[in-house]
Amino acid sequence: MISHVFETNIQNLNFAIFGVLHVVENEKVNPDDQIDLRGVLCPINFVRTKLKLEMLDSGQVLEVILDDGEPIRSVPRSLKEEGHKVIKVEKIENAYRLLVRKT
Amino acid sequence: MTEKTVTQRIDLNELKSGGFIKQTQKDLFTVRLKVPGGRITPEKLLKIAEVAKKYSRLGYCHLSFRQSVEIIGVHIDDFDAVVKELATVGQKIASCGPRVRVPTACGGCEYNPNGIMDTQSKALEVDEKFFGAPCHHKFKIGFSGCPIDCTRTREMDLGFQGVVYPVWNKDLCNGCTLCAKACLEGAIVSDKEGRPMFDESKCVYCGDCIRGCPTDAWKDKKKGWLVRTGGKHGRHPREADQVANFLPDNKVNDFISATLKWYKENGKLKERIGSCIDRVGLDKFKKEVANAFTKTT
Repeated sequence: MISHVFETNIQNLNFAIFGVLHVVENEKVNPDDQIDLRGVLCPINFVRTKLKLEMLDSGQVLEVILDDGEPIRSVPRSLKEEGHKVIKVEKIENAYRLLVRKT
Repeated sequence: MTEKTVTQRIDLNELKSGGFIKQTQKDLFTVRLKVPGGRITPEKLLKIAEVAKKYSRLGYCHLSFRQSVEIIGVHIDDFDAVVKELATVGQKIASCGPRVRVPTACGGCEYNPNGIMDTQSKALEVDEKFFGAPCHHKFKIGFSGCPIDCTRTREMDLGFQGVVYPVWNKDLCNGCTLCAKACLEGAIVSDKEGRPMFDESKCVYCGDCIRGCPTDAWKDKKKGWLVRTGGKHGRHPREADQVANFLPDNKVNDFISATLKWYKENGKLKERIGSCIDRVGLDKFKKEVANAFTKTT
């Protein structure tokens, strides 16, 4: 019984810490640059995101606007493969707004 | 040289087992070369090109449907020279007839981002261990690294396809919904907070959720092979049946051995394993071969 309570508390604590981290990250982030890729097909949208990221410094944040469907399915995955971090995903009208931190 | 003296000198069936296939033209043969998994070095390709240029009396090669390079129109008198010259780069001859064929495989997980299991290493290993083993009929083995299944394991006598089991850690999830977007099967749907609701009955174990997750909340719990048997093409195609899932990598050879043994005991001459399964029942195969492996998976 005691161990069960203890475990639950640990989980809550974990959740609280991660929850706070996300809030802090999201609140303080202002993108350093922006690229709107609505209407741009795969894989050109990824290539243009990559080129844009190359112009930023490590740790800087790029705002990327992507169409729903194949682009939102593929581009974040390719960014992860290259080691970049998608820190926020937000649905906007018929599209998605991503914040990407350069590795 | 007359047909009579040719047959006196060389048994045509013996030739076929060695990868020399009789053509319509008198004394000309197709020489089928072994390319396990379809991967070949430029050095071997150059040598094959050189040999083909020298010995193909029709002046061309053919890329077979199962990843072999075939030199067309080689005269029977040139066999020794062809074999000897190809051997200088380690290029071996394939086979035909009722035996285990050269395994096929997809491009490979070393460079394909969808890859889950290492098909190229496995194709080489299985080729080394099982190539040429005599059977009631041809026996084709193939490896696909992921559920996209480029090697078409559903058409193989025995096919292995890579799978990954995804698990979700709620503490790492930030509710971004990218996993639900990544999943093409509808196995992941986001709830109001953006968190995934997972329906395993729809999952094909491709791992797109894992690759798409930016916070590593989705991770792989285990990887392995989904196994299918009894597939074939030809005049009467038959889709293979799934007989195991998440077979560990180190159990593949045992599974092949057990299947070949079962086929030898249950099959008839000139009968593919798929036809044998249709005749004796899939349950018999599962009970006598597959079930022993599902316990370990």
